[in-house]
Amino acid sequence: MTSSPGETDRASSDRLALSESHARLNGMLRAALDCIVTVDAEGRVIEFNPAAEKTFGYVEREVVGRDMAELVIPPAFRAMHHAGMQRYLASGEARILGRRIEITAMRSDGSEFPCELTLTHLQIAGRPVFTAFLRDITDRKQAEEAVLRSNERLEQQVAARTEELRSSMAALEQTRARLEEAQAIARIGDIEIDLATNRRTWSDQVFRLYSFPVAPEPPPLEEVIARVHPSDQPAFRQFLESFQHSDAESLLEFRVIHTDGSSCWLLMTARARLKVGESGRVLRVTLQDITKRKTLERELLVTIDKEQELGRLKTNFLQMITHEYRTPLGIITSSAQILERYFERLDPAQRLDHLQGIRTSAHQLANLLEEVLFLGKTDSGQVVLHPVAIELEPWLKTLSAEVIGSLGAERVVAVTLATSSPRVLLDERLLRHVMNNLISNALKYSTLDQPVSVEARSEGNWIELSVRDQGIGIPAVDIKQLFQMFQRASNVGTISGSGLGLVIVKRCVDLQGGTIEIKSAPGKGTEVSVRLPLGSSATATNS
Amino acid sequence: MKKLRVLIIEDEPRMRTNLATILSMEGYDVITARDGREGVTFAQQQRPDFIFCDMAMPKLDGHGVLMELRADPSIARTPFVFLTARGDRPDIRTGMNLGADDYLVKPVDVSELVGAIQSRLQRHEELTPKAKELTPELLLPLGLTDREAEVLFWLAQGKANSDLCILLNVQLTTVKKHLEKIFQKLGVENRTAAAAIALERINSA
Repeated sequence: MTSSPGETDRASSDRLALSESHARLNGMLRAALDCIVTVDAEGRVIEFNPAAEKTFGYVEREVVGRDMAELVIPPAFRAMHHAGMQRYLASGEARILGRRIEITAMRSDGSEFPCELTLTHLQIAGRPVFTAFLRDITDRKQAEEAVLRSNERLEQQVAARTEELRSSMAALEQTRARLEEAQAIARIGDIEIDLATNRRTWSDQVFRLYSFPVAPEPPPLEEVIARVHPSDQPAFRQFLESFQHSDAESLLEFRVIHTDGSSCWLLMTARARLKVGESGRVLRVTLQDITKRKTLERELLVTIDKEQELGRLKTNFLQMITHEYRTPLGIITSSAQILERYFERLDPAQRLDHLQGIRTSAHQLANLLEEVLFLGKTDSGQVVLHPVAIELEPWLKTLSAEVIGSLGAERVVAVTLATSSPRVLLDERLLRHVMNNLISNALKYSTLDQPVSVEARSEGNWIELSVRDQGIGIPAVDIKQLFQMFQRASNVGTISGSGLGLVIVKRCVDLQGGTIEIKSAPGKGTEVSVRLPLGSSATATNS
Repeated sequence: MKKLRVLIIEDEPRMRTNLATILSMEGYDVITARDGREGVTFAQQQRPDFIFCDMAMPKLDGHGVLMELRADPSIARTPFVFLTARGDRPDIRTGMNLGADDYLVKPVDVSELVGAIQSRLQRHEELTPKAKELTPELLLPLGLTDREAEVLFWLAQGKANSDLCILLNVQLTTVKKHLEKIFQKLGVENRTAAAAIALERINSA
């Protein structure tokens, strides 16, 4: 460097000033915490302060004059750096000057780190120099990243929690829906009653079980009790009362009358518990529709009753059979013994009487057997209808004569006909069972002087056959029982009978699709009317 | 010798006449009643020596007849035999406990009818002077339980094991067990010997 003497003073004072300023600058550079690197237009390092030495791992001596880019810019960014430098020097277009930017810098060991850079451009002694202020922001970056990551994590967690909550809400809703559905299917409802406040909570099914419209709040207790069958109401109230002081589980079966008048059976199971995390007790109640079970129970009882009734009937039947058989058998045995032992001492009329007694009794036995067998057949559905054309008047007269003959008494049965045709199409065998029993009953339960009449009337496609007597009659209470086996009126006295006759009549009438009616007054007489549908007379044949 | 008078109470007409015929032929003086009510009346009015009575009758059944007759001192001691059916076991037991002398199961054989009268009238003659109530309690001094006394009481009157079942309302095995005990206590080996001890006891009471 050359200078004139005149200039020298000024120059020296300038130099002094400069040197002072330089020293100050130097002091600032040295004290600065940021790295301060100054390069010339070619990018060669002019200054490299201690902070830069420390950060980049170089000593100023080593780097002054060297290409800054090769020292501190990672190879990947160098091309970009040179291009920027060229562009600025050529056109003055600055993209990064005066702005704080973040870049990646490189240490002497080649490791990279984030760095904040502010670049300034100065003209020193007519030459452009660039001063870069650099700050290692690894810590800040890391902190930022940590915050970011933790934020992210937090967000993820929040999202996860939200999702969890949402799904558990959904699951809960699903469970609740499923519970409701299950309750609806099982017809089980649940109730919770706070025993301190009497506040009640109902599941939907409870509303349905009591036939209330589903609502957020259950109806008042009295309205609920009003739905309970009146005879079950006291037990219902007592049941609820009982939990005020007891924690035992209890059951109550009761009936509910629905608004449509139908009724159902409900089973209430309840147990009082301490409230979770609170003082006071709560009553948990389940309500279940047990109508089906009750119906089955009732049916079962009816079946058992029927079985027992059947058993009773069988015993009754056998007792009756033996009783009914015993009398004629006893007569046959004793008459036979009398004939055997005392034959010589009996006159012919007495012998004949015993022989007749044996014959009548044998006939009675045969009839009884026939009746029992016939009933057995109708029971097992073996009876098939065979309608034939019957000349009613002579048929009835012949039958009456037969019945009178079998009873062995002088009686008269008056037969009258009021029919459109003398012939009817009916099952002859069934009709015989009907009329035989009715005429026989009329004769048996009236005395010799009391007339018996049989009347036949046709009405359209029906025929009505009535048998009327003026005998002992049937007490009103006995009439409806007469179609049951071995049921005889209470006033039959010593008149023998099997208790099967009217059962057989009823069966025969039913088989032909007819009806039977008994009108009777005790002491005045009985009229039994049978109405039977007729087969078409056009197809009547004498088969 | 005066004919013994037998009353037949039976509601079934032909049965009644047949029984009457048989007993008449066998030499008894027979009177008949058509129902229980008539039977009680005839028994009180005509003082029969022996009564056959049907069990099941309208108006007044056999049990009712027996109760009324046993309540009337003038006729209480007349031998009374039920005519019944094998099926009516509870009725038989009730009847015997009411104090009937015996029962016959229908259909009744001539020899059974006659046999019943003969054995009863014979014993009746023997027992008449005593005029004591005949009950199983008479046999208790033999060291028997109530039940055993009851078994022996009927056994002494010629009842078979099957009858004992009906009269005590127990199973055959139970009857046999009672008999074993009785034989053991009386120191005998068979029922005839046991019956002999029992009759002796009854007659000496």
